Amino acid sequence: MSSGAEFEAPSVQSMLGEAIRAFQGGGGGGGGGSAADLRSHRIAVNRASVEGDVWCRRGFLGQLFLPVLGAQTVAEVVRESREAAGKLEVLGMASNVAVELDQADSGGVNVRLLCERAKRYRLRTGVDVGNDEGMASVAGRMSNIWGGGETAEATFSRGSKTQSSFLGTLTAPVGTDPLTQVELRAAQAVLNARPYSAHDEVSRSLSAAYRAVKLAGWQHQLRYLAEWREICNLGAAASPTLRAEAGHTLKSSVEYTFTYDDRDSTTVPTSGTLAKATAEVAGLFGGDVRFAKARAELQTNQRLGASEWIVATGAQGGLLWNLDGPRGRSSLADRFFLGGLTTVRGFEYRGIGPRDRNDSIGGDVFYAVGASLLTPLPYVTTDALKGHLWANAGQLALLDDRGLLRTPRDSSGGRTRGLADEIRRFFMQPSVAVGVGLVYRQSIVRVELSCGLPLVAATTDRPKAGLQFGLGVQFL
Amino acid sequence: MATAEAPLREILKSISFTQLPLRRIEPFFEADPIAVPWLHIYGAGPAASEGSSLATFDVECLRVLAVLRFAGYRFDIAHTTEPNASPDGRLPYLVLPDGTALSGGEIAAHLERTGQGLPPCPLDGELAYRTMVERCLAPAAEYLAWVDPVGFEAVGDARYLGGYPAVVRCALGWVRSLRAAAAVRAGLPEYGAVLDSEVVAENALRTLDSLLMLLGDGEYLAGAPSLLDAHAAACINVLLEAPLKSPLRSALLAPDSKYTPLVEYALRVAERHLGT
Repeated sequence: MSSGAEFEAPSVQSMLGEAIRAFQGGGGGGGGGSAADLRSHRIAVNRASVEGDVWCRRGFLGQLFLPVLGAQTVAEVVRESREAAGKLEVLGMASNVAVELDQADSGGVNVRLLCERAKRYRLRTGVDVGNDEGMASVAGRMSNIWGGGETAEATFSRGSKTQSSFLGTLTAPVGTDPLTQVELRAAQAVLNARPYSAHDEVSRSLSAAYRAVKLAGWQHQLRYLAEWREICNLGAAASPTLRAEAGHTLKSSVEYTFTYDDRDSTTVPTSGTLAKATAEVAGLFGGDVRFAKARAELQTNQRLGASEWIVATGAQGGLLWNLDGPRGRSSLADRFFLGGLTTVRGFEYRGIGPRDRNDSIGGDVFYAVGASLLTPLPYVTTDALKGHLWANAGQLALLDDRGLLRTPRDSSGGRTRGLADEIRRFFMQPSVAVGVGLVYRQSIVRVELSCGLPLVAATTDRPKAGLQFGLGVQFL
Repeated sequence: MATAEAPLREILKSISFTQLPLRRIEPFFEADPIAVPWLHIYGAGPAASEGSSLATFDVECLRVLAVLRFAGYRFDIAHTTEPNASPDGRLPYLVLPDGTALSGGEIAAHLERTGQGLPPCPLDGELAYRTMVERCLAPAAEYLAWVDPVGFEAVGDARYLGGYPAVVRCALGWVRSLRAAAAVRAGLPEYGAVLDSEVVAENALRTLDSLLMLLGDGEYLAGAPSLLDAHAAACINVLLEAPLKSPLRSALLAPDSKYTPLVEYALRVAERHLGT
């Protein structure tokens, strides 16, 4: 704690005040010298402290103020002090943090961060939206558990597809950087896959993740996941293929995700690019499933000149490679699914790909491409509502002796197609749909109403011609 | 077709959305064909049978297998350790060529519907004997596999759950053990909270005495293969195959045991009807 400094001209206070005004664009030069001179004026930080209703670990404070104490110019002192204040706010340790600079008795300057109390406990109820699903949830959150910006959160939710779900997370910054975090997570969810596939999927998982976010839009995440999955509660009419998938599996995997996102909006972007790639390897540290899985997504958005017309293109692809040998089959819980308003429009949810009777089986390899044109609407003044013309295509298949590796035969038993022909057909014969509709941006969710026209579909696909309504976060 | 009375309606039908998609292609998936019905029973298969000639180590699976073999029903056997695949969550279950799955309790009705059911049993009081086997003999096998600590390790954990990872195995074994104890205790209400191997064995031996008297010099308990034979033979064979010493097994296999005819009967049924 220290009292306010007494000023003497020319004082550090006046110099710093002019420096701050210069940074804020108010011009400088009132205290003598140019703004550039003030910014580069050498100064030493004598002491840095935090005051107010805030609790910080001693070690955390030391790391937080290390850059401040090491600042050597006026500009650095102001920048590092403001950054330290911002970190306290972002980590939920304090609110309305003000930076004060006082002249030190021994020369130099003292930096004080004046903090107001931040809410440590929060209880929230609400309705959340996922892709093709709405959920009601109750969440409790506790911030700054051990004085280092740690956060614990527990969420219970029920939804239209996720019957019940519990999620508990413990997040802590690495050092004092809120953009670099480690996270421990425990989760349990019961997913009702009906009517697309007559089963429930119960998932119980523990995971540990390291996440780094860069301000330029880059994000990296490395995660270890241990997950116990159970395919159960099969319906009376479940297909034999689905029955063969029932049971328990334990997945132990390491997953790396890279994301670059500079779009101006995550729901209805008008510019920017999203590039996301995920690689996962299971079976390295136990578990009874062994696979290598990769998934990539690319989305670009471009405004046509200075108009309100937006062209968006997207592509997704994924490959699940079973490591249990040529006769091994992947698990239903690990496969990809395709179809629905958020993937390939014009088809039911999970309506593309392998299907046995009424059950969607999923696939090991898929691709999906889409192109959209967002248009302004006549007599509509808000830019949240736009017209939408789209075309989507995609295909999904298994990589075993029931899918691409099978040997199709004609009625006489002769081979009709080889593997190369089947792969070529996979890429050259996607399921295709086009349509028109409306898109509405509602804060964090995108609402679409489309009239789809399926053009090409496999005989086992579930095309959905006509109106399709949905809401979600990520769309193709 | 458009008519003078309703030209527009017919034209609209021709351009209805139900005519889409415009082109259909061959799918990239073909389900495994089912030529004959498959009976899914517990077991890791003949290669892991540990020298046993029985198709499975589970009482209910053996019972249903015996019923189907008695009826002369044509089917194949598939070994599995996953009861979640069954319509009622319990093994066995039967998958028909059209994809329909029947739980163990529905198989007898299916045989009746297809005219392959067992003939009426000539034994008076057969239902009473079956109830006795169900209430007193079957719980002995259940207790041995899931409640008795040594039996759980040798049978329940090793045979039923051996294919799962350790974490899943522990959790499922604990839950199954609690349920089995509750089920055995429910079937023996007169013993209340007392539930140990001696109590269960005593009850089972009384049932075996009754069956021994019923068998006499015959080949089958009811004179011909019946539902009673299916259940009784299944229970006795499981008790005989248990890989550990138990009061019941000792009583059955003692050199001068009075149950020798019953043991020979069970082995005879196993040889004729319960193999892989």
